[in-house]
Amino acid sequence: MPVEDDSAYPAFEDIQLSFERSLDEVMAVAKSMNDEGLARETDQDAHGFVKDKLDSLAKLAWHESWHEGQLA
Amino acid sequence: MWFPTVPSQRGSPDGLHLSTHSGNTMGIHLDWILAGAQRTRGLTEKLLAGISSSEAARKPRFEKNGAALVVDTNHPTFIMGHLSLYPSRVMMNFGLDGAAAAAPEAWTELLKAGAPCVDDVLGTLYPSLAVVSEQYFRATDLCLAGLAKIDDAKLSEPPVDERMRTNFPTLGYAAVFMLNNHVMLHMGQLSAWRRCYGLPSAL
Repeated sequence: MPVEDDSAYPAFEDIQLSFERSLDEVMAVAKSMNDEGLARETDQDAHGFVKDKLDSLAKLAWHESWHEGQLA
Repeated sequence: MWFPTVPSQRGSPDGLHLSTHSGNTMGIHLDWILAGAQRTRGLTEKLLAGISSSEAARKPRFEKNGAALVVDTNHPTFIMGHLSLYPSRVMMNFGLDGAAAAAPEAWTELLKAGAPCVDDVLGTLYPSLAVVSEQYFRATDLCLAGLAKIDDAKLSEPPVDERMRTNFPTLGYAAVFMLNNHVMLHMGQLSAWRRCYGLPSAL
């Protein structure tokens, strides 16, 4: 649960930068994969949340959409 | 092709189709797209819980510098009405008959993308939250049931509708966004609205 305390979090600019970097990395990895690789099961147990690696990318965007809506 | 081909799992000659015991085919990618959409539908039900019918078309307000400030955000009635417009359009783009899922024609101008969301002080501008929500769930259920019978190969085709084709080059793009991300975006708005009205987390 978020708390109303600036000192509890990294600077917002740092969080944004970290988010952008990690997203760039995910996109680069995704683009390097072929169709067959994307259709494989995820390397870690997804506890039924995603079906395969392609679905994990879709769920990533799905989750982001929710929080973008909170900001919109 | 935007959607990757899937390695043949049950002897499908092209690797795109998963044969069922009945000899029919089912969508492998549509399977996860629709599973996500069902999860989204479930979240929507949770987020609507506890919303007062008298507040559903109102905008949050608070005091700032001694004056009342109305927060210009989308309210639940607008959000659910807006979302109810799209399942029939998705169906039609997939070549399905979306007439039974279509929202009343009068809702289009009121609730389309870009239409202003108005703070309905007198409660006269919008249908009730119950009515627009019922339309959303009914249309969504018809859409998901219809798409469940469609083959994955359809996902690579362009949408029939020119406007949808401008935004989404293939039906796969359109289905993922319209049935999942678009709804989730508005559920995020609804989540923020809930907290402004003192409602607890819906998750």
